[in-house]
Amino acid sequence: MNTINWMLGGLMAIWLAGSILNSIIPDSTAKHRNALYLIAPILGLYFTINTLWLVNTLGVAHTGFLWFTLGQKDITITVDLSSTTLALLLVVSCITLLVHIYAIGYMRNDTARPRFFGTLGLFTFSMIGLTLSDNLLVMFMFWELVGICSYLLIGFYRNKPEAGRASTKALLINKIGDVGFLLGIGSLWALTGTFSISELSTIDTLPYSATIGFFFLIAAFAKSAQFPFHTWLPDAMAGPTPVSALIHSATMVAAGVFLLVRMHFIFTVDVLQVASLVGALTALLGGINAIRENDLKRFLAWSTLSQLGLMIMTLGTGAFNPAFVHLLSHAIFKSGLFLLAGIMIQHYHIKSFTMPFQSSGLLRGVIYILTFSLIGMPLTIGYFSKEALLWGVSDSTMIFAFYINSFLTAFYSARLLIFARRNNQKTTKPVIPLTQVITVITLSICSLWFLYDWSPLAMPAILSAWSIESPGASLAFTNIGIAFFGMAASVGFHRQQKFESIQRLIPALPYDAWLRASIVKPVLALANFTTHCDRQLDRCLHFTVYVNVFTAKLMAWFDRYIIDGCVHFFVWVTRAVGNALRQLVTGRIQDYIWWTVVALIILLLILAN
Amino acid sequence: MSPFVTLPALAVVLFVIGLLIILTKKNTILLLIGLELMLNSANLNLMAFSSYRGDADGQVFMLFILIIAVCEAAVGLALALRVYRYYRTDNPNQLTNLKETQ
Repeated sequence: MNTINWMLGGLMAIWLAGSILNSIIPDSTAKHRNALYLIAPILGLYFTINTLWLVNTLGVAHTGFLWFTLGQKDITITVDLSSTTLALLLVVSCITLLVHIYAIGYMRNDTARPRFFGTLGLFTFSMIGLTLSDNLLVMFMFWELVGICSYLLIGFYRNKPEAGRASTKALLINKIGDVGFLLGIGSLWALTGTFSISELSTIDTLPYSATIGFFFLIAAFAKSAQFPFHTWLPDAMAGPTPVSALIHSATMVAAGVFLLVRMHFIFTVDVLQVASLVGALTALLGGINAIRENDLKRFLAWSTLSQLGLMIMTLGTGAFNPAFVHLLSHAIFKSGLFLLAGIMIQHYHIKSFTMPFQSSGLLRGVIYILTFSLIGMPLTIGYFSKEALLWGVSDSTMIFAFYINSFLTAFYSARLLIFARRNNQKTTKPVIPLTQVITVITLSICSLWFLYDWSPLAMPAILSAWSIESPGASLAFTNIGIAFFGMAASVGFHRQQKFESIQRLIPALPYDAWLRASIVKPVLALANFTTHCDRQLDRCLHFTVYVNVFTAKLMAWFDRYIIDGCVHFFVWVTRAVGNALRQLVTGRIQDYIWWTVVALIILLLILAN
Repeated sequence: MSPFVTLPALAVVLFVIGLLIILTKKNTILLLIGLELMLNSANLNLMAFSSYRGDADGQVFMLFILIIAVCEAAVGLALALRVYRYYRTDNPNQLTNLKETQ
């Protein structure tokens, strides 16, 4: 137990320290600097594997320590050590190591490498924290942190205005989900008084679970780019390609699905149905847009969207584990595809499907393996997870949506196969750094079947540990048949040069314009209205102020000129009389006598009358 | 003319002369002389009306006043002397100490 705590502490510490040091140490130390960037990922993977091994031998499910006491409640940082958590932990650690190795080559001419690796390290730290946390509050903290890191990395290229816009968009849309998450946490705390997921899962009947379920659903939808929050994901491709591979296909967007898997006990049937429908809609949307999209990275983003929709859809039928399995396999092959796209963009200068691509044999093989994995062909990891999904949806009507998605996935993925096909134009082959080639090859090898089970068609034994069974031969063959049909249709349309007319058939759905019309405009109108109200209120206030000031001025005038005027008048009269009388007091005795005589005469005259 | 008319008339003339002296002359000694004149005009009146009424009361009273006038003249002259010594002037216009000086 104690050793596990040390291992997990070391894992978190090495990533945080690596992130801080990577962003502080300048990039001038030439060759050894590359090795420094890899210290945290390698040690992190070492700690992860050690943790896995320890958990396996010791068999603990939880560990943790007291964080703080809130009133009577003890808030502990508990760490979940269930198989789901550990599986995601392993996948995150592996992919982040590979992406770090890849990025050393990809970013070798970038001056802002410390910032890039620092943020990437912080992201991995947060993602691992999010994965491990059993405490919803701590999970929310890391949830916010991955959102911030995603924001920073989408907007990594500061000279690209669209990157800035995309990062702001991603952050704002994710904030809606954060509100949902926060509401869910608050409701759960109010109802049960605990943040711990493991404690919550033991509660039998939770009141208002439908509402709380919706809150968490909103959180997951925003993070996993489900309809109607999906518009940020294609735009997020403005970031560097390693970031797209790690964050926007493998880990962060999967965090929403992971949250739903972790909180599976809280969802009622109605909530799950909503999730299922939204997932199916998103999958459809992603598939159709992937057919239409010509930009390489945005194409992959739409395909990610369709796969995420598939996960949410399956999860909505109550099959949480198959969705999670697809999350893991999708993380592997989709990050591989993104890293491949990075190679194409960087070394072949290809940004879209319309440009000619001179593939080398090695790259072609890698593309084929990863694309077949995406389609779900046998001999790949994608086959296993698609089978698991198929088993998950086999009892519900969603199986039709699944088949439609299989067709769409095959249809749009075949574009990659055709794109990488052999052609005889001779051009100079670019030199691709070894780090980039190695990572892509590693990921494509990981996408093959034999790492998981020697039998290419049966369900791997690991998956039966998650109580996933094979869907049965008929369903599986139907699915493979549909996929083959989709691929064949796509290839056929390409052969006859009809694919572009197919693309033209699909209307460009202006989601952003709809969002702007349905949400942004009303909000702006409301803001304008409140501003207007405010201004009117200000006017009323101003009026009363004017009245007050006017009255005050009037009263001041009255005070000054009428009241003070009276006083001044009396003062003036008194002073004038005094001044007049003072003239009589000359001090000369003869004047006094003179006045006495005058007074005497007047007195005599009065007496005489 | 009957002495009962001429004597009061003389007294009035004397009184007015004394009064005018007091009001106009710019010498302390002359003011005292004017004062004596007015006093004597009063005495003249007392004497005239005493003889008119035929009793001696007024004349006795006049003698009293004469004596008092002597005392008064002595005190007045002494005062005039002191004032002159103190202020180095005998012009009453310059003796303005009765007015409060600022």
